[in-house]
Amino acid sequence: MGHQYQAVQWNKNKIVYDVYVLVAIAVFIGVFVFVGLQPHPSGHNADPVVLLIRALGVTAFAMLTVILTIGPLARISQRFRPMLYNRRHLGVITFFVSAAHFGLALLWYHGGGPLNPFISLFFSNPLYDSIPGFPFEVLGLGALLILFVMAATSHDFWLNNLSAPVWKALHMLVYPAYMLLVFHVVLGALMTEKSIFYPILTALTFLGVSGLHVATGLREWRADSGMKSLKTKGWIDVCAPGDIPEKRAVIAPLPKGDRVAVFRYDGKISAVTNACRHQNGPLGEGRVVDGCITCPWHGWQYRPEDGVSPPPFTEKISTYNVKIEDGRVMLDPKPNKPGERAEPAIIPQGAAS
Amino acid sequence: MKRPHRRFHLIIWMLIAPFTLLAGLYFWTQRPMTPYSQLPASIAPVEQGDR
Repeated sequence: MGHQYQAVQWNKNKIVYDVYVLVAIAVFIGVFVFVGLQPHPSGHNADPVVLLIRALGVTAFAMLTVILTIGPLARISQRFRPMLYNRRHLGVITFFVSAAHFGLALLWYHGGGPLNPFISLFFSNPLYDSIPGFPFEVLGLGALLILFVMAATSHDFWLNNLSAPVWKALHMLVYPAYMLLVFHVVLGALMTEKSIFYPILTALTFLGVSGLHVATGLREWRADSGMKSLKTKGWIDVCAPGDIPEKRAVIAPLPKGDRVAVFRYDGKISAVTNACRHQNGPLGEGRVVDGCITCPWHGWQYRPEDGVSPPPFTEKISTYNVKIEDGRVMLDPKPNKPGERAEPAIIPQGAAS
Repeated sequence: MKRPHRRFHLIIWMLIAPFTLLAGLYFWTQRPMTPYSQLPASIAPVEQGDR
């Protein structure tokens, strides 16, 4: 939480995670280069530097693919939620792998001539109006610049100063970056690839990522419109108290598109906004731990009654008034100010089962 | 508080996915059909002893 800024919020979990990722990258690149150096029946021997450039590029593309699947997978199944915790670390490492791929390619292909390598990158191949001869490197550079912006602003310092909506919007640039990378691969490596295997693999990879995002997006859209008709006298009929699992929540969509997390805990019902102050994580998919609503993404906590983080933290989220009427949990769609106490509804005896 | 961009994610992917797939497929069909072994003579590998 935002109690204080630290240069990098490392902990043992993150260090172990980073070590695993770096070892996996080293092993993958080592195997890639080793296999590529084996004698080929055609007698053509691959250059180790070119193999290393390709290995770094494949690694970066694969890592970005994995990163882009984490979000929708975590929405489909709770089993994938732990992957969200270190997603930003994976993103920053992906930037460094991409930068290594770019730097090595720039030196190898553009560093030996009289021109500045960067000028050579843009002008040595002027076939911008050609498809098979298009200078695909500039597409990769475009994606790299986006990854740089994302890596540079990945720290919570920027998240706090830009605000979560702006930060999220900025980091959604990863989608066009991925599109640029697909074109970079298609117009680059696949242009001279004789095997059909790699184009199919690339297409299936992209189909998988985009299919996951579209499927989860449609599911969210349907969930938003599912409960809008259950409105009574300004209050919204959410569900019966027994429909909410103990120390968990149901998420109630409001007519204007907001969502409210309605929690049941210790015989009471409280409601807060579904958006965590940190990264707008879905609080309603979290649970009550040590008396506090705990975000499933990064563990930020809030008291259910007033939406205030426990000391020494100071974050506040909006609360909503709730009541139980005729055995139903009713929600006032008008939010209270962030941090304003809303009296929890007491669940009558026998109503929670 | 409204969780921003929820539908925006979907809209972006609804635009990006078909465009990337169709454009990528079109680009790929435009690839040169000449494998490395059939490079034009002007850029063919120079045999040893030619100079």
